[in-house]
Amino acid sequence: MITTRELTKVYDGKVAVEALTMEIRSGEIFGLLGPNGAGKTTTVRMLAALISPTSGEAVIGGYRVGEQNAAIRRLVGIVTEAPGLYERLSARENLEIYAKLYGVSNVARQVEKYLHLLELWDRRDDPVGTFSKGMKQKLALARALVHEPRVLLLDEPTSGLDPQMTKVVRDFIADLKGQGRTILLCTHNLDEAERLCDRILVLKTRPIALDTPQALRRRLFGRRIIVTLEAVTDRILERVRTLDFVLDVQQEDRRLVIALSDPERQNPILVRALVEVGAAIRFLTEEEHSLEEIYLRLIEEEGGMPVLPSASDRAEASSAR
Amino acid sequence: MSAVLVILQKEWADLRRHRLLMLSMMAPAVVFLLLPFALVILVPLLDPSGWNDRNVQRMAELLGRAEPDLRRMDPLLVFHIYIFRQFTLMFLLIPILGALSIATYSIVGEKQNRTLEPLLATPIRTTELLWGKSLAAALPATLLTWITFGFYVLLMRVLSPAEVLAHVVNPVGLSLIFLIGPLVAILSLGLGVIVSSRAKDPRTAQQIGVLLILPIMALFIMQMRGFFLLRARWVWLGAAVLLALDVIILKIGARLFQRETILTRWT
Ligand SMILES: Nc1ncnc2c1ncn2[C@@H]1O[C@H](COP(=O)(O)OP(=O)(O)OP(=O)(O)O)[C@@H](O)[C@H]1O
Ligand SMILES: [Mg+2]
Repeated sequence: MITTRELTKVYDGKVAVEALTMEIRSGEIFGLLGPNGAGKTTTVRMLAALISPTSGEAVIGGYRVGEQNAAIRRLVGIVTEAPGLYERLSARENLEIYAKLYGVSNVARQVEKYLHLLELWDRRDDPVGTFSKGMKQKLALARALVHEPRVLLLDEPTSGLDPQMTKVVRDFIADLKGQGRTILLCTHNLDEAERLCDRILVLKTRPIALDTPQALRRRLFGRRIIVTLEAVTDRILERVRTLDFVLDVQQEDRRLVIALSDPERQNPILVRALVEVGAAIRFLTEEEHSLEEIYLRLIEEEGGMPVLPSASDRAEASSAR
Repeated sequence: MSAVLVILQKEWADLRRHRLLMLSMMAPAVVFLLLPFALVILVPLLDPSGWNDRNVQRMAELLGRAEPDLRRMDPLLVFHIYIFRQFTLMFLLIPILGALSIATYSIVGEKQNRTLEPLLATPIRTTELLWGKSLAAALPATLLTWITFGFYVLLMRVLSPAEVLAHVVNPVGLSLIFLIGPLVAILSLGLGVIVSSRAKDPRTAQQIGVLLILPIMALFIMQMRGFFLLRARWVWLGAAVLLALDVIILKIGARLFQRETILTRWT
């Protein structure tokens, strides 16, 4: 649905986005994850045909940015970084203006539909200036949807919301995916990216990594299991170290963190060996890395690029490099 | 519906609820409407013999030379005509101030509230947006001027002798209000658009208004001091010059009014 090739934006000599190559598939939620100043907003603006790329190209729904901008604008709905609502006008008026500008055929019906969906109907005639931050954000979402765009660009849609409102907005975004819309979600909230996104592109001016959240995790850390015992003795430690398939062992209090190449096959052997030397096993789990760790590692290692792209993304990532 | 109309509607819905802005537009109109009547009524009352001083006589003489029928008139009526004509000129400040405040508010205001980005993401053309905003500023400013002038004429009919009205609502007066008025409104909003692209605050943008107010004030004072009298021909020449200026200013405004420029340079 969205493809970019070597997309680059330079502001007065300052590179904001460099050589971004990606393909966002129809119907997926694609996360654009990056720290402040990573170029997320700049990317969204290029994809919404608001600013023109310095070089490279972007194609959205078959339309080329810079050449068929009007068609792109009709196809795309956008939630900008700031909600940007007319505060003296009511919720309904705000939506009506946009419905008309997008050439929606049944303005009243569409406006009503989204006011209901986002639970703003009861406040429809109140000036937006009296709304809470969360309500404004919901209204901004409604505004982005009022013309039923197939592509949605969301620039940090939950930033500054309380946990409850954040959940409401996230659930709503998850529902949108079910309707077959293609969604680009910018965020620096890792938890959000992991919950909502099918794939994540980590961006720091240049693309750093592109994969599913799970694959990103595996790629960076290999696989480790954590064995929690009643007590760790020297004998137990010694026994584990002598197993030839164990890559690394670390003791953390009563836990052993063991790096394995193939836990599915090796775990039973490991457990048997542990039991033989009298270990009382309480738990055995695979270590989970939060996306946060992955993210920080990626950002720190930026430039070093230890991350290999997965097979499906290799073509894209290699040209992005 | 055309995008220009949608913008126009939106601007007016917003304007209607902006009390302070409405008030700041109305205030000069009311002052310029009432002040001349206060002058022609109060000055002879407070100073029964002294009002007809050397300055007024010199003005009456000047007026008489240009329009001989004024020479046969009661000096008090000539004084009325003189004051009312002066204030017809002052009426031009209404479209200038009005168009400027609406234009700067509607652009700098959108900039401050960051409403321009989602707006520019819609399929609207930037020229349509500029047209909508320009009309939203020029129409009410011009209309306010005309309505105020309507009240002016009405009050003159009620409060002044009949000969006075005919000498105020003459080609010069009508050209000022109906020709120069809209033209200065356009000039003012055009300058408003240009300064708004740089200014962070509507008030700083509005300081450009001084540029436009000064020439009007200069005319007002020069005519008051008896340097010259505005003739219809000069007013029409002025209109032609203003028209040319309007075109130039609007072209510059339109050039600044581009999606990318608005989003990335108008900080
Ligand atoms: N109008 C502009 N002029 C010059 N530089 C800009 C402009 N807009 C953005 N930049 C620069 O481009 C880079 C990317 O900015 P961008 O806003 O796209 O980042 P972001 O990922 O959205 O950050 P954030 O998380 O803070 O929103 C930054 O270094 C920023 O300073
Ligand atoms: Mg941003």
